[in-house]
Amino acid sequence: MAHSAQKGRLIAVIGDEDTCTGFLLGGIGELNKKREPNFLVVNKNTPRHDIEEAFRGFLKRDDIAIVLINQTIAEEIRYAIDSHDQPIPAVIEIPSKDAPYDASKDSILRRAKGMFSAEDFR
Amino acid sequence: MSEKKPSTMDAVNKRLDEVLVEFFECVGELYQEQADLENIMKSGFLMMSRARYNMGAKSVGVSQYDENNMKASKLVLVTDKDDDDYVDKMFELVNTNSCLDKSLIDPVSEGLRQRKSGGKDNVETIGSENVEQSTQNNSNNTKNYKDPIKWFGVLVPQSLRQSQAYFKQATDSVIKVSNLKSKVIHLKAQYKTLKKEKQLVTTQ
Repeated sequence: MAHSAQKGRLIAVIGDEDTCTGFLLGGIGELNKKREPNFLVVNKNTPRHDIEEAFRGFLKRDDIAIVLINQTIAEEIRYAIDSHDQPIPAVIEIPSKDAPYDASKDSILRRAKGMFSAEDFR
Repeated sequence: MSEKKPSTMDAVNKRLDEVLVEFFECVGELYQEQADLENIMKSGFLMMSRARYNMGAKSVGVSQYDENNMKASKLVLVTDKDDDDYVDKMFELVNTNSCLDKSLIDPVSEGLRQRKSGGKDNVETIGSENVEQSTQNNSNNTKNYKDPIKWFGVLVPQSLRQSQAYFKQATDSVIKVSNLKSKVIHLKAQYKTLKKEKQLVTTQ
């Protein structure tokens, strides 16, 4: 096992107010030199475009290792999450206060299911 | 030719089975860890709601974030794990302010600090030890780092401290989930390559 990057990377969060507050209380929040935060608080008025932009922004940043996203919000930008196939940053779907986690919606587990598609057995 | 085939075919089949068993074990663990994460977060949300009930509706939220002094105390180290020909990414959590976290590890024991069972001297020594440790360990970090709980006031309710402890646990759980997901992707890739290898052997 070798360290590919000695510098610690951040965990980013895209979530509702409670999820963001909770994880920031846990000590993951930080603003970079350009004063860009590693979190996005989404409310019912946040347009999908803003969520997608923030998500793509987090994927581009090299100081982020994990992106946490509420599954309900992930559903809105599913196409963007499905198109991300790099190991870093890892996109992890988490439950929110209102909705429990549903494994059948999770991008990674859905991809893993695809492993046993009919095409493989041809 | 046909006599040689079974040995390689057997080897590939055996490896395929191994990978598949490992894959299902990994997925099982992943489901378990996701359920744990959900329970921890649920407790965290509950405690946050209680804190909000005590402090007022608007007192725990976005408007309280102190973006000027925001510094992450938990960072992730990404390591490469070499396994056969595959390179796997592993995540590891590091605390940049380890001594500050010590006081918040146990959400339950935080409430009463040996007020009745221990003598006065005993309590004092425990307290002074902690203070010494914290000053020795990271005198620099304490200057730069401000505990996020202070965004919400100096005398915050116990429920908010408990919520913080739960979300710290949730962060650890998230790292485990990330590692398991990374392993699932890795095993899937391994399975695909072995399938191709098997096809190659059968066509030969």
